[in-house]
Amino acid sequence: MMTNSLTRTRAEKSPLIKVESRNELSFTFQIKGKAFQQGYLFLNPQMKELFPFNEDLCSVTFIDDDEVPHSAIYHKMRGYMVCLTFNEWWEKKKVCEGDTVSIELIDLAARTYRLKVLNGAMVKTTVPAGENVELRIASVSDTSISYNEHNLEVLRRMVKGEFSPFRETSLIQLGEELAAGICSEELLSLKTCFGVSTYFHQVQTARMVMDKLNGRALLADEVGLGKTIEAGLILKEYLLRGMARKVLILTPASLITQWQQELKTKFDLSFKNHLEINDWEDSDLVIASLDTAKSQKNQSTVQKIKYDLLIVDEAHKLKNRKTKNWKFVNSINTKYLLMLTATPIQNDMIELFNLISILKPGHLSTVQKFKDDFLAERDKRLPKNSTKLREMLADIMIRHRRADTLIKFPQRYVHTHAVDLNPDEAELYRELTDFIRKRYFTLPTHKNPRGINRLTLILLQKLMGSSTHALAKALDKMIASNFYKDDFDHSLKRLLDMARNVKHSKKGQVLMEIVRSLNEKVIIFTQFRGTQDYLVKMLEEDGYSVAVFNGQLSQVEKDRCIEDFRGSKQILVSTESGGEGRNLQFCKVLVNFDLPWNPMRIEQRIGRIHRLGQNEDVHIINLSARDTIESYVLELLDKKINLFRLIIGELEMILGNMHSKRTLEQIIIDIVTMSPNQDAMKRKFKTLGNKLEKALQTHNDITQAQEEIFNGE
Amino acid sequence: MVNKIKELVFSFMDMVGISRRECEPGIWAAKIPEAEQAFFNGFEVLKFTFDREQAELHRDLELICEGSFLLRKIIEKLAELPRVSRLFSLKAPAVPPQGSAHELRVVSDNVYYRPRVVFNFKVQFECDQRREKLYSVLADTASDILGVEDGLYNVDMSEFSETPQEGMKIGESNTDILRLYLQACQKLEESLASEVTELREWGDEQCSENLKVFEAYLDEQKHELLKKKENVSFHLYFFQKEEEIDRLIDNLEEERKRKLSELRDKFSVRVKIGLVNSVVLYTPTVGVASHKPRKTGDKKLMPAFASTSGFETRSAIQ
Repeated sequence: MMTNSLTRTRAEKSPLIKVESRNELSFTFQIKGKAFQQGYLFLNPQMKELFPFNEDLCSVTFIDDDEVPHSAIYHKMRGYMVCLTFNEWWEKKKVCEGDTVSIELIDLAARTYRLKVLNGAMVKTTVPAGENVELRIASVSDTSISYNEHNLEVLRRMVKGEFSPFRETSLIQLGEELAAGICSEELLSLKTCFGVSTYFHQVQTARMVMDKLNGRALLADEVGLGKTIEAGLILKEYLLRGMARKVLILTPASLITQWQQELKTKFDLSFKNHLEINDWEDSDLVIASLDTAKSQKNQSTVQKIKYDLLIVDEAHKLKNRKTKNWKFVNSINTKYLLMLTATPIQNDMIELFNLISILKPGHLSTVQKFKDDFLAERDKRLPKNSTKLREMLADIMIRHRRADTLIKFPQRYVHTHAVDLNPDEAELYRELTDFIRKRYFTLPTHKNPRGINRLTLILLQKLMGSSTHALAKALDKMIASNFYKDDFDHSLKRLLDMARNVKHSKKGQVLMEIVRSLNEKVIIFTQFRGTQDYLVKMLEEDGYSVAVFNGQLSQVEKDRCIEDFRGSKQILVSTESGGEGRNLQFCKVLVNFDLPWNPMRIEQRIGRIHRLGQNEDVHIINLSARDTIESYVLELLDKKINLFRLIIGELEMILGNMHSKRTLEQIIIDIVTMSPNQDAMKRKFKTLGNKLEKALQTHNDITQAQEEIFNGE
Repeated sequence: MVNKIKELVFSFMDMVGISRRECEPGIWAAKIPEAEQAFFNGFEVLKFTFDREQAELHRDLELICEGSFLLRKIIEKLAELPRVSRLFSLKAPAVPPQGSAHELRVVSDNVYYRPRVVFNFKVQFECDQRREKLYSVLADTASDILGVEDGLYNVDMSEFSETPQEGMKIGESNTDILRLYLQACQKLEESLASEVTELREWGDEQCSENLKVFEAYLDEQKHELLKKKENVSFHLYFFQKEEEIDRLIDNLEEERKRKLSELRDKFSVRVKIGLVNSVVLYTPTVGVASHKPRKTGDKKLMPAFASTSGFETRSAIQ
C-alpha cells in the first residue's frame, strides 16, 4: 500500500502542526491554520507514538478542561483525527492561532486523552450569564449514547474501497428489518413454545409483569393454573428480546428435573443444574435448589453475579425474614425477579410482607407500620384493611382463581381394581418379601461387598409389585452377572424358578378384561421395561394395535410413536421416561398397571392427560394386588390425601406441610425395609396415613385463608 | 413474514456454503460444513422447518420462525459482518444539486458519477425495557445535506446496477468519509434527542419513585434500631446487644448501597447505535466537478471514495 509513505510525507510536511515538547505521556503543539478549528488534527510521527493502536480506524476520546468528552475517529493509515466538536472547544476556550495545546494520555486501554490549551486560554472562560455553552453532539454531552466498535469496521471498508456484493449488504439489512418487525407488541414466546395451551390469564400475567410491574412480581395463582407456564413465558420473552441473559431458577430439589424438562420441551430452553455446570459465572441459564445455591460452597459466587432474571419457585419458603433462605435470596443481585407460590400466606400476614420486601422493599412500608395498618388483632392471618391492602398488592402480586378464569376443568373419575393374586403369584410375593427383609439386615459391607445392596433389594420389591415377568428378567440378569454367587445364588435361583413357573398374571387378566370393555384409546403406564414387554405381547396377541413408548427410543421414534397413537393405534404402553410435555390430551383413559411409590410420579402420569387443555372427563384405572405394599401405598395416597382427585401441583404443597426432610418415597422405603413383619409394616403405614391427613388439613386451612385475604370470601 | 424468514435463512446458508434439500414437504435437511457446526449447535445435518405444526409433530426438527433462537442467531451473525456496497444509478444524467459554498461546478457535456452515501443505523434503547429502531441517513456529498429517515434505506434495484457504465468516471468527492459519518451520527442523535430525553425522564421518575419507597423503608428500619439502641442499657448483656444493633445497622447500609446500584442499573438509559451497513449510491451527473485550488501539493492523499476500478479521484481532505 502506498498510503503509509504518502501519509508520513503529508504529515511531516504539514505546516499546521509543530510539536513543541514531548514526553512518554504527552506532547504540546502550536496550532496553525484552520484544520484544528475545522475538526482535524494531523499527527506527525512523533505524535503518532502516543496513539499506538493497531486498527486502521479507531475511536479516541479527548477530555477537555471542563471534563467534557470529545469523540474523535483516528485514521491511522492517513495519520489524522476527525472530531466534530473541536471547533466548539476552540470557541469556548477562545483559542487563537498560534496558541499552544497539550494532549496527555489518561488511559491507553480506554483510549482517553486530556486536551488542554496552555496559553491564552489558561484563564478560565467565563460564560456570560444566561448564555449556555451547548455541545451539539449528543454523545459528547450525553454519555448514555454509545456506538458499536463494529461501526468503524464498516467505515474502514468504505475508506479502503472494499466493497461487497450488494446481495450480502442487503441480506444484513433484511435480517435487521426482520428483527425489528419481530419485536412487535405480541409475545414472541407464544410463537416458539410447544405443547403449551396458553390461556388468557397466563398471557395477561406475562404482559402485566413486563409492561406494568417492571419485571418484579409475585405470581400467586391458585394451584393448577400454570404458574410455571407464566414464568416460562416471561423468561423466554425476556431472553428473546435480549433483555435477559443470565437467569437463575431456584426451586425445591424435587422439582429441578421437572422444571428442566418443561423448559426444554415447552420453551426449548436448556437450563443446567448445579451438577452440570463447572462455573456459576460462566453459565447463563442455571437451575438449582435453594439449598445448593446458598450452600457455603456456592453462596458468595451466586451473590457476586449480576443476574438479569431470578425465578424462585415455591417462594413461600421465604416467608420468614430471619431465615438464611430469605437473607440469601434478598442478597442476590437481579434486575427482574419472579416469585412463584400459590400460598403467599400460610400462618401469618407477616409472611406476605416478607415476600414483598424481597421484591420491592418498602412497598408495604416497615414491619411495624404494616402490622399497625393491616394486621387484625384477633387473627394473624386476616387483614383489617383488606381493600387497601389488595390495592397495594395489585402493584406487585398477580393472583388468579380457577373460578375467575372460566376454564372448564373436566372431572376425574378414579376406578381402583383390587386384585387377588393367583396362589403361585401370592407365594412368590411372600417369599420375595421375606428374602428382602432378611437380606436388608445383611447389607454388603467393606468386608463383604458381594451382598445385595439396598437399592437392588428395593428394586426387586418394586418389580414384584409390577409383574412376575419383570422380576424374572431382573433375577435372570443378576444370576448371569455372577456377582451374587455364594450366599445368594441359591435363593435367587429359587425365586427365579418360582417367577418362571407363574402361569398367569392375575393383574394381566384383569387388564385384558378392562381393555376389552373399552372402545377407545388407552394409555397403560408401567415403571419397568420387563412389564412393558409382557403387556405389549399380551395385547398384540389379543389383536390390539399397540404403540410402545420408552426411554430407549430416539427422538424421531418417540415422535412417530405418539403420532401412531394419535392416529391408528388404540393403546399406548409407556414407561415414565420421556413424554413430558407431549400432548396426549386426545386420550382420556389411563391405566396404572403398577404404582410408583413416589406420588409425584403418579401425579406426572395423570398430568399427561388431565391438565389445562383437556376438555373431556378423564378416567384413571388403578390395578393393585391385595395385601401387597402397592395396595398399602395406594390406600395411603387415595384415601388419605385424595391423590387421584388433586389438582396438578397440589400434591407438592400437601407434602410440603409434612415438614419432613425425607421424601414420601424414602419414608415408604424405610417402612417397607425396616419393618420386621407384615403387622409392623401396616402399623407404620397407618401412622404415616395420619400424618398425611394432617398435612392435607393444613393445606385446606391455608387455602381457605388465602381466599379470605385475597378475595374477602 | 414466513417467506422473508425463508429468504433470509436460505440466503444466509448460500453465503456460508450450506447446501440443503427439501426431504419432505415443508421439511429441509441441510448438511452443515464442519466450520459452521458450532454455530448450528453441533449438528452435522440440520433438519429444520418454518412450519410450527410440523415442528409440533416432529420434535427433532429445528423450528425457524419469529422469535426462534436460530433465526436470532443468524440475524446476529449477519449483523457482525461489516458490509459496504456501491451501486450505480441507471437513470439519465441529472444536473447536480446546489453545492456547498466552496464547491464550484462547470456545466459541460461531460457526465460523471456523483456519490451519495447511505448510512443504515440500528438504535437500541434500553431503560428497564428494551426496544430497537432502524434509521437511515442519506448524505449527499455534493449538497452537504444529510437527511434522517425512519427505517433502513430501501434501494430499488431496478434503478441501480453494481457496475458503472463504461467510460463514465466516478467523480471526486470533496468530503471526508469519517467526517461524513460523524455528521450522520450527529444528525441521528439530534433526531433521537427528544426520545432519549423522554426515556430518561421516565427512567428517572421510576428510579426515584422506587428509591423513595426504599429509602423510607430503610430509614424507618434504621430509626427503629436506633430507638432500640437507646434502650439497650436495660438489657442484661447490653454490650452484646449494642454490637448486634450496630451490625444490623451496618447491614442496612450495605443493603442500601446494593439496592441503589441495582435500581440505578435497572433504570439508567442506554442507547447503543450500530451501523448496520452502508451503501454508496452513484448518480450520473452532468458537468465537471471542480474544487477550490489547493495551496499544498497533497494530490497524493488517499481519496475517501477510492475507485477500485482505477478511476483517478482526488483527496477528500482539503
